[in-house]
Amino acid sequence: MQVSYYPGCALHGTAREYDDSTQAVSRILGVELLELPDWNCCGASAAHSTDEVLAHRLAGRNLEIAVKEGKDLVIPCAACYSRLKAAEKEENAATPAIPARIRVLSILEFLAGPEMAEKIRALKMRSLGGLRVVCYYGCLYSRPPRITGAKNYENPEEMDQLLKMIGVESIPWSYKTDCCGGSLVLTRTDIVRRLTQKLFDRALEAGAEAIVVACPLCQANLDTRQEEISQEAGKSYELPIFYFTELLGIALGHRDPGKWWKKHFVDPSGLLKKKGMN
Amino acid sequence: MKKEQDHPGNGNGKIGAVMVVGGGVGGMQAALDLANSGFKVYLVEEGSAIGGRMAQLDKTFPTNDCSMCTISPKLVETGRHLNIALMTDSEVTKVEGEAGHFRVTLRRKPRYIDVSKCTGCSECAQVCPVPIVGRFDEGMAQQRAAFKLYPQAVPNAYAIEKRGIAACRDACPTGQRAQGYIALIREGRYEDAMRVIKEDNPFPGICGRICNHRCEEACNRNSVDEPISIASLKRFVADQIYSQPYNPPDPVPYKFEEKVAIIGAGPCGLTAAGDLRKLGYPVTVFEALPLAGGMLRVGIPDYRLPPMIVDREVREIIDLGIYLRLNTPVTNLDDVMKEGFKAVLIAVGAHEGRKLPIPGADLPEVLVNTQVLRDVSLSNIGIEPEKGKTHPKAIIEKRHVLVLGGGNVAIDCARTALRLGAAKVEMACLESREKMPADAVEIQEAEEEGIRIYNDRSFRRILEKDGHVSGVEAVNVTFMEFDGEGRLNLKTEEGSEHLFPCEVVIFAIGQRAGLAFIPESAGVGITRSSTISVNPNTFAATRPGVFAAGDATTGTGYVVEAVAAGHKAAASMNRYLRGEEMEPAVQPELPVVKMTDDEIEEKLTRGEIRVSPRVAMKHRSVAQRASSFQEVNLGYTEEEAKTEAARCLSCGICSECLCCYYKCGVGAVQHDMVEREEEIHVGSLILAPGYDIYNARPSQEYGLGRYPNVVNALQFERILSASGPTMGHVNRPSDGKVPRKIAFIQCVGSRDQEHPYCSAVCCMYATKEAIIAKEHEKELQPTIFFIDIRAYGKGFDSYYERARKEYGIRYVRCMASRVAEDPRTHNLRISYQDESGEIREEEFDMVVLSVGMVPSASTKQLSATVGIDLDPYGFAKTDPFAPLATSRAGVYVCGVFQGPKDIPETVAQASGAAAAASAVLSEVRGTEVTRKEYPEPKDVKNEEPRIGVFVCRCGNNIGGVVNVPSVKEYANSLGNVVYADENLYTCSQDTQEKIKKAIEEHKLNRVVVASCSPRTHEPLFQETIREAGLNRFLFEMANIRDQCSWVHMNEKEEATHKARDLVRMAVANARLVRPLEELTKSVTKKGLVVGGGLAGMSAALGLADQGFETFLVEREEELGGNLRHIQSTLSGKDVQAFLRDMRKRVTSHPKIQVFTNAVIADFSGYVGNFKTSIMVGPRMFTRELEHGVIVIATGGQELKPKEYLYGENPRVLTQLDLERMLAADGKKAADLKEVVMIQCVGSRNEERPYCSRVCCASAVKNALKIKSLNPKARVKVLYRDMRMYGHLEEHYARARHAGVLFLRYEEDRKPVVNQKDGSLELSFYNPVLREDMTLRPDLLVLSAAVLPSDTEELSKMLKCSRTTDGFFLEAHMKLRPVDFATEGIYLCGLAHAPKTIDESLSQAAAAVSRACTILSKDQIQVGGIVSVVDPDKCAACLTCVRVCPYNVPVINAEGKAEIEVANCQGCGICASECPGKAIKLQHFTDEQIMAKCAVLFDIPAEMLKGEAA
Repeated sequence: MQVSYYPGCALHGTAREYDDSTQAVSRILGVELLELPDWNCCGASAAHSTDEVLAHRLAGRNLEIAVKEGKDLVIPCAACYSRLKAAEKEENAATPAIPARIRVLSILEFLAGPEMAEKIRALKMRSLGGLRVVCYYGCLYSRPPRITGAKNYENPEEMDQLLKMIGVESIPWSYKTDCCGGSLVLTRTDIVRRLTQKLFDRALEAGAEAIVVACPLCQANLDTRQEEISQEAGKSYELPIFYFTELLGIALGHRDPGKWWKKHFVDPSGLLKKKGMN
Repeated sequence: MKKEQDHPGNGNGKIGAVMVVGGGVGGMQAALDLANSGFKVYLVEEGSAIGGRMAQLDKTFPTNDCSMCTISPKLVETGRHLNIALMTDSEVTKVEGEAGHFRVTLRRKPRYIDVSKCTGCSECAQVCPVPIVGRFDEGMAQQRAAFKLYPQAVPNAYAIEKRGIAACRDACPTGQRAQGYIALIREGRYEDAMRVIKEDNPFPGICGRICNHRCEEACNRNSVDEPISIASLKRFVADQIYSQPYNPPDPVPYKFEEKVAIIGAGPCGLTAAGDLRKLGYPVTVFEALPLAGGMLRVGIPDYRLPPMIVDREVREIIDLGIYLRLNTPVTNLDDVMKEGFKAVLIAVGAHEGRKLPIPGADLPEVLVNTQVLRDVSLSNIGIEPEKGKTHPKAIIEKRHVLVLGGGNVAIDCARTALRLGAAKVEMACLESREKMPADAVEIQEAEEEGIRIYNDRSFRRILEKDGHVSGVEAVNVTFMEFDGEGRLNLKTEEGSEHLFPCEVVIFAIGQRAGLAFIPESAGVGITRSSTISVNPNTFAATRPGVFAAGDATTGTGYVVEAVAAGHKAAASMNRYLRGEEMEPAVQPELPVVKMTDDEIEEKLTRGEIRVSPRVAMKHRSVAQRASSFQEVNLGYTEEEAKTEAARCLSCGICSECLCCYYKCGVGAVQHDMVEREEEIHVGSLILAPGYDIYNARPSQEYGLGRYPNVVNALQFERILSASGPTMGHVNRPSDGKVPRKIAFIQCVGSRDQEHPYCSAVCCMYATKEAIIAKEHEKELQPTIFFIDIRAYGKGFDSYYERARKEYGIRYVRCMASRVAEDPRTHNLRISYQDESGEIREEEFDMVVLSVGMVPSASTKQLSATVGIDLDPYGFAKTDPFAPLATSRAGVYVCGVFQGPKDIPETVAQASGAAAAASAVLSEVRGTEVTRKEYPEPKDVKNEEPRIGVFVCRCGNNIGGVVNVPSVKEYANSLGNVVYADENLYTCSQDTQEKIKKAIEEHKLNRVVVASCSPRTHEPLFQETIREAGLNRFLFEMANIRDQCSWVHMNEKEEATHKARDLVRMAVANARLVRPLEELTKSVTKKGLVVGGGLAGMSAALGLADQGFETFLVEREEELGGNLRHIQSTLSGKDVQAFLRDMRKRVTSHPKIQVFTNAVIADFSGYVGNFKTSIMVGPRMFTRELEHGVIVIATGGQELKPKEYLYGENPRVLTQLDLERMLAADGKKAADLKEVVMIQCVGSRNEERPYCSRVCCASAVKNALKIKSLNPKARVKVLYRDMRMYGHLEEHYARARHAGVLFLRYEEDRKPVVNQKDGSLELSFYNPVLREDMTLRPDLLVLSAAVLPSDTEELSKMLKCSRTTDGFFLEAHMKLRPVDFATEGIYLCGLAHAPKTIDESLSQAAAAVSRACTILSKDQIQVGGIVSVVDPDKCAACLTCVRVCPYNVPVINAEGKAEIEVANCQGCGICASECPGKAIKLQHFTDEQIMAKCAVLFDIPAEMLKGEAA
């Protein structure tokens, strides 16, 4: 099976481990990710809040390439996904006569779909039983629903279901879609610290040993702030922040997940070792 | 009973009957009004009981009356009304015809309980093992599949809920009610479970072990985790029962003479034998072997199926009285026929094993499956093989055995060989591993025991060495398949020949029947594959009287198939012997239940099911079992079985376990009921289907369904209710603790994007729930998060103020954005913005979502069926000038289906709809009704009391606690009791006949029933004695159930004692009861309407259209009232045109006499016979009017404000002033730059603590008008709460879209208005911006209060009370919204409270309807239980005059109190208050009460004689 793949800037930079684990999992599942030729910035970072036309055109160009390629487009970054979904919506609204030619999917949506889920169930090599996590979807994966078309946009379940499939205990909690402050990283770090600290507290209160995400911005935000928050709060936070693809990778028997951990600020290998999953 | 007229209608084919759809409070009210004014009513309800939403509520606002207490009398009245046909479990499927004559088709769904027989005793529910989520308690508690919706339900009858056939039952050839016995296991009722299994299968222990249980493959639990271990549970039941000593079944009496023969004592033959014996036939079973059981006994190794199980189950069948002839092979069928058997069943099974026709198959070490297994089984009990044959053990022991075959029998052979001591056992078969017919478990167990299996092999020959087996030559199979006719299509691999070395070969490749005893001459056909040919429906063979079933007709099958065939064959043979049609009748099929993924997901979310794998059964270890024939599987322990049983999803709901059927003492349970259609002819229809509450689960931000302590308002209502899941204790669901902080979140599912209307009641019900919760638990701190408090109804605002000030309920103005849960405590965190603008997070113990009203899916269906239009949200579309009429003529609506509203408005609309529905039918009034005629009552006044006492057992309800026979004996011993009896159910139909007969035979003149509550049952028994010629007051009841056996169920002796006390008191009272006469008075069939405004004109037209002459009295010169000042409605309708039309209709109506410039001068009389004198015209000449009813519609007017410079500055207007100005000259609006409106001027203050209800809508209407005339004008509305309830909300939104600004001001910081040089300056504090604002409007418009007209004189004259605000006070806030406490006087319009045009119209129609219940009668009955004055004792102290809540007593010309019989309500307050004891309440005299007390506390000697008994 082949799909178009839009990695976006994060997966070529700060979130290499997300890219790598996504590629690894796809390979095991027999999915070939064809990187979109000549893709460009999706406009999530600055364009969409400053120039409406530019925002539309940046994402629109990528979408056009994908349509030309003719294969469903899979996107791991929630921000890219949101932009391209928005472009898709606008496109459809502009030319309603043309039926949807390809589907624009987030990698989570794609892997949680019935076909891939079935494959994961069949190809699972090991169960991650004993690992207690909360799933954190952030703001853009499911919302706004008119863009994403999500049904359970306040309480998404796809990641939880995937993780349950591989034995992970995903604990229900109320903060799945709370904001982590991603867009204020550079401008209002104080707010980011407050918001992420709340997420850590709530996750710990729910009994989680780690947080699992599906967005490079969430991951970076949650992963990198813990040390400074610890210093500020006088309370130590050390919660590993996994990409869900990393956990899938372990469950599907990927040979070397260890290299992913090198990219993490909070090293998860201790936790995994404790659980016998290293 | 007789019909007044046999021919329906004479008015152009019109039908004098109305169908009311929906049995809630609206439907009931409409039905009662119609039935009481001469129309036959069909009340159609889709549920099993009427009562609707109101029955679910705990209390009602604003009086905090108990909802059930207020609705219950209505329920009883509706249920018992002679002219209301209650059609529960029914839906409308077609409506043809037109107004005046509709043909309505109903779908009447089966209830499985005959309502006419059911006594409501509850025993079916007590024995029902299937728990379901109780709908009445909104999923907060469980009920049983046999249920009564709620304790007070009408009809007082149970119903059984069935969804369809459970998947397990459908999959089983015998139709085993697995869900049923599983439910009984869960309850530990193993005897019952055994009975259920045996309904369909006489071999529980056997099938529990060796069945291929396709039920488990079908099980709906597969979609959750793993199927239920159904077979193991069945085995568990057998193990439990068989561990008890054997009780042989009672022998069955013979009913028929025809002898029946069964050939073969296997599962098929024995099943049929048992069935036929139970039917009453003499049955003989022929068996070739020395023991019965067939293959079960000799074909299945003991380690799988212990012989004692087979023996036990066979014995139970034989002990029914079956003649079993063992060792009797039938060699010739004709011999059997000659013995005189009228029918023969051949059920010989398939006992002949087969060998492959390959070289070497005849070698001595080549064995066949059946022979091996049979020899081993028999030798295990000491029966050795026939002479000359070697025991298989001798051949197998210490040898290398190869079993050829891949089925269960092959595995049986292999494992048996192992146990006989074979050196090595292997298996080889044609099939691949996946296609092997053997059970996976069997294969696994065999492999555990060390047996190796080779798949995909075909066998060429058996090799020999020295005359003995030395191996088998095989080839690899590449493809195999059996075609449709059972022929093998095989492909093998060239050159793959290879050898299996072995010393013994056992063929296990199938079995067939031995049919040598059927020669061709027997006339019984045989098929090509050596089976007997039969008709598959009847099992009849080709020779008459000969039947065949089981493996002998089908080839080898499973036990269940044999059992199923046995049942069917027996039924068929019975039909044959009885000379009936041979083909079985087609049974109507219930659907098979298939749970959808969504449904399972929902149940998982709600915690109704939890993922839990099946409970594993323990096995004997491999080491223990390889050398022994002891059973491998060890069965479940009781605990394991119950745990496993609890996993069952009860997918079929009712499992037809028949526990209820056997328990019911009156034969009311009928599981074979089917759906049917019924056509009914009616003149008009009223739709009152009510609403659904908004399902808040999709609003995931609030977590309903995910967080246990988030409930919806209706659930909370049930929590508060004493009959609810927590018995009225405020306990939160997660841990049952009393919550301290409860948050209510308003507008959930209202005023949002999908529901752009206000649900109209939530502010008030949340306030009520908060108050009641606080009354239950003083420590509780309720907080209500709201947008606007919409307390717009009568008495609502003061209720809200009381909640705030007296109860300390906290109101926070803000829409709470989300609810999060603390996973450790299950407390809930609400994020909100507080009054100071800060974002806060506050923790609560519990959250109640004030969910809105939505039209239900079924009402959409109903509307489509009936063919009426809906508005965009799914409510019925109506016109503001005709709020009760739908888009289809002759079809009317009321209640929430017309738009969100509260109970009184629903009730008023229901009455109104009744008036509308009957107006077109007035000429056929009385043509469809029945009237009951009773025998002339006997004169018993001078007779010595002869009392009959009937003591009820109420099934077990009373009988199980109170010693009923002793109570009966005791009653018999009491003075004046001449007859006493006991009944299983005193209220059942046959008992009524018994009571009448007893009255006749024993000349009874008083009857006492000791049973349940007079509230529900007294009318029934009174009816019975009336039919027997006794006055209905010669009856007394003792409540020995609700007040005795139910509350003292654990103190049986004391309860019996108390029952005697209660009976003794009832008898003492019965001695003193006297027949009371009811007088008939004629009715003056005319009406008087006071007030000629909208409501009054409308009421007058209504009465006149119903055919009654009507007087309309108006104080002013012209008709029209306030309507004269209103130009248009909010939706843009022309009010003036409407008024002109209405005036014309009133003044030209032949039945209406209008008196303008007229006032009421004097008033007297009573219901049906009032006299009013009026003074008319400037010259005040007097007219005397006689009429039967009076409708008060005196109206009200707009306040002339004294504040905000009104009257001092020409730029300050009221809304009516503004409306007049805009209508007069629209151009004036063009000059306006800024208009400011101030709401609540003169309302909601200390002087007038009520909301004037209409001013928000007027302001919005006029603001929109200004905006439409001059879009540039700035319009600002200063408000406290925008009370745009119901559908008004959309106009509020429209105004905001149009740019009207709505700015809030606070009550204690009112706007201040100043004028400077004629221009206005207004300043006020804006609480949102938290700063002062100054405005300079061109116009200041005051939304002034609505005042009632001055009715002080009138109210005194009519003796009708008013509220402190000066509005008239209705008889009951909720259920009698247009009645006065005094009968015959009704109320509508602004005289009642402020309201809009459509509300006034509905109410006027309601008053008409209520009035018609009097005017339609020729006579009314008065008297009975009323107070009477003894003038000799009366001192005219006025006490009675003051205390009477109905203002009935007066001091007459003689200076004595006088109580008009027709007006007295029989409450007895005057009698108890009268200091001179001059008043007594008939039927409840002091003498009677004293007598009851006397026998309770101070028992006279002559009565004590009973005590000894």
